[in-house]
Amino acid sequence: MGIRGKDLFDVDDLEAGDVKEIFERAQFFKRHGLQKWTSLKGKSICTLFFESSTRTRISFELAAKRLGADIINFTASTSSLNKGESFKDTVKTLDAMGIDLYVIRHSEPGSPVMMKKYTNSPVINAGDGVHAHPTQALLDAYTIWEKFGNFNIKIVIIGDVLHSRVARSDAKLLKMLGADVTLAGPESFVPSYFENYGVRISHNIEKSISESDIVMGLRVQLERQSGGFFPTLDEYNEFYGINSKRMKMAKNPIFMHPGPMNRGVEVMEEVSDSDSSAVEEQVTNGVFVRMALLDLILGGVTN
Amino acid sequence: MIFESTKIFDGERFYSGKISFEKTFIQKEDECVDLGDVWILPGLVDTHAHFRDPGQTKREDLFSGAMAAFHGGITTAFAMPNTTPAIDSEAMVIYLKERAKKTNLDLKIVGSITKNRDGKELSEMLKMARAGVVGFSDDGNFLEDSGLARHAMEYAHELGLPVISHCQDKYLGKGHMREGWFSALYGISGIPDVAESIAVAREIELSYLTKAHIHIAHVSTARSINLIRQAKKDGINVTCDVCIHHLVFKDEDLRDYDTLKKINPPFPTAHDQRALYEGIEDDTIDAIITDHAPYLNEEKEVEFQSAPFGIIGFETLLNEIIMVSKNGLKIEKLLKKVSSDPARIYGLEAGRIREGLPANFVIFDPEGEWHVSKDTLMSRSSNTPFLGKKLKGKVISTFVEGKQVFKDAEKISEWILHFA
Repeated sequence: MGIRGKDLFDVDDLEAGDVKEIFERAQFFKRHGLQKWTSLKGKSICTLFFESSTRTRISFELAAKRLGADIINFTASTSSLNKGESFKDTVKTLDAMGIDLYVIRHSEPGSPVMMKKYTNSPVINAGDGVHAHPTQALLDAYTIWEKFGNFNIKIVIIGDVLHSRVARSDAKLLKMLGADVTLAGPESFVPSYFENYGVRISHNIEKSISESDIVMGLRVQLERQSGGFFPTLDEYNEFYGINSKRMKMAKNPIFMHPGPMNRGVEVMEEVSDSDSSAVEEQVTNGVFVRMALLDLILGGVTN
Repeated sequence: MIFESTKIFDGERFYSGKISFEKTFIQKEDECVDLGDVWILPGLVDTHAHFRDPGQTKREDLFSGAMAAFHGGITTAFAMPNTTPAIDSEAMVIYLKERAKKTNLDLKIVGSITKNRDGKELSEMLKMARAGVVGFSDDGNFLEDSGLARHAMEYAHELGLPVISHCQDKYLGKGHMREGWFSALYGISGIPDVAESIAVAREIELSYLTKAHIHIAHVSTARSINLIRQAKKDGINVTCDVCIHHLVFKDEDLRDYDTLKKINPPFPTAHDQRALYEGIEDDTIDAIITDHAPYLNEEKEVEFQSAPFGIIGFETLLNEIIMVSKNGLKIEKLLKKVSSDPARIYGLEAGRIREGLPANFVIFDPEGEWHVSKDTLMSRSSNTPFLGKKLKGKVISTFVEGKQVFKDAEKISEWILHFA
């Protein structure tokens, strides 16, 4: 059992026991604060970012460095992809140089799965299109576990669910761990078939917030306006935005957000910068959860 | 030459007997080769294929396409007009017909409705009809302009030829698989089912207005089937076909993001696939087609949403029909949909074994097997989800006008003596 040598395409590659092991290892690292380790000394980790990202890439980079691994960053803008090299050739070229583990972010769903045709090294999905973002789901779940000690909680995820890999992976993982999950927002963003995740669908966000322990916001991108998903950002904010008036409808709810936040659109500062906000903890925990993952997959010996 | 078999399919049903032919026509008996219970089928009729000739011949050309067709037991095939340039003029039709003569394939040409298939001006339909096209289609492009579509149908009606329509609303049709639970789960952008049925409804209404024969290509949803079933009851001159791959694969099968399974219209939901089976059962669906669409490996081996739509289909048609027959549809029904039924709706002298007809037929061993690989495929392309798989059923030999145009190297050796 365990996840040593395995890929992480999405959270359903994990069993509940694996998640527990990851959480315990993350907690162990967190207790030691900023201590540096040597468990992955000599291992080469490559982050392949075909889509721009700040926090996820830096989080993985810090995690790898704290474990003593060598880390190489590949970003599409500085790469030969600009010269017309295909995804296939890029991966084959890197693989020929000898990489122990890949972290991939790509705008295309399924690209981590496709990548496995060209490498035998483990692949961690750091976000593929709107499909999945398993490490974000793990750090979200870890943050909840740390705060509540269990998953006997109600969470509502509000916003552009249709275009959110975080909502998909969170819904799967939190359901697997036993949480009560609601996906909420306008019908254009929350189609009825998302019910198949075993979650509740709601278009009445005030009612959903009032019944929740945790309120998670999702980024609403301006570009969706031209697709007709919503008429204006201002209207969206007024009818679906998370503000303190709405947060007061619940009993001491926690606010979470995978970032980057659009302040004044899906959430007001009075919520995102308040004491109930767990946004910074999510970011902090992200490094420890990713350390745990890398350590467990590459078989480091930290204890 | 005579062949004897306990399983001769005449285009409608199996019978036990002999067929014989001298030179090009099927005749009464002579010296006899006993095939036992290996099947004799009429040369199959595939009314929707892309030969990529001219202009895209790295993928396929008339010669490789014809060989692939023969390997699949197909002797009559429709060439759709999405070539480069498009088949939108009399000269193009004549050129292709001349070129096809060298292939032995009974190639039928579909001309475009609009010049360059761009939906702006009508092609010279009367001239193309004079050169012998069997119908008109803008192929992958649904003609958005309903006024232009109306006039095209008026000309088609006057000519007694069908308009073949790829029904898909352009604005709803932006996506890479069928929208629903599995598109949500896989994170692939979805095309809702109504993107098709909205367009089907428009075509049915225009056929009502113009009396033209409208043929709906590769129907893939329950709602489209319902509209067509009702239109047929109402006496509208509408026919339709389904792509064989849509009877084998479902949306769910895209879990591996295999671009070799990417096709437009996308694979149906389980619910829609059941409706397709029912549509065949009650003859709402008139024909089964391959939508043979060759693409290079270089084009297909990219990220899912960047890959082109299309799967080759000639060479696995009978294998897939065997698979579908295991899901409850009668084999005779399925064979009829790739022989006498498509011939009937397009008024072709093909797809039957009958005295006096051209000796186009196929010897097919339903118990045989073949391994699908770049080496065994006759097509220039290998974009099929069956690549690397072993399939049940094997075409042993194909005849066009009495001439053996395909023979399976191993199997035929038992009988080859008779041909010399």
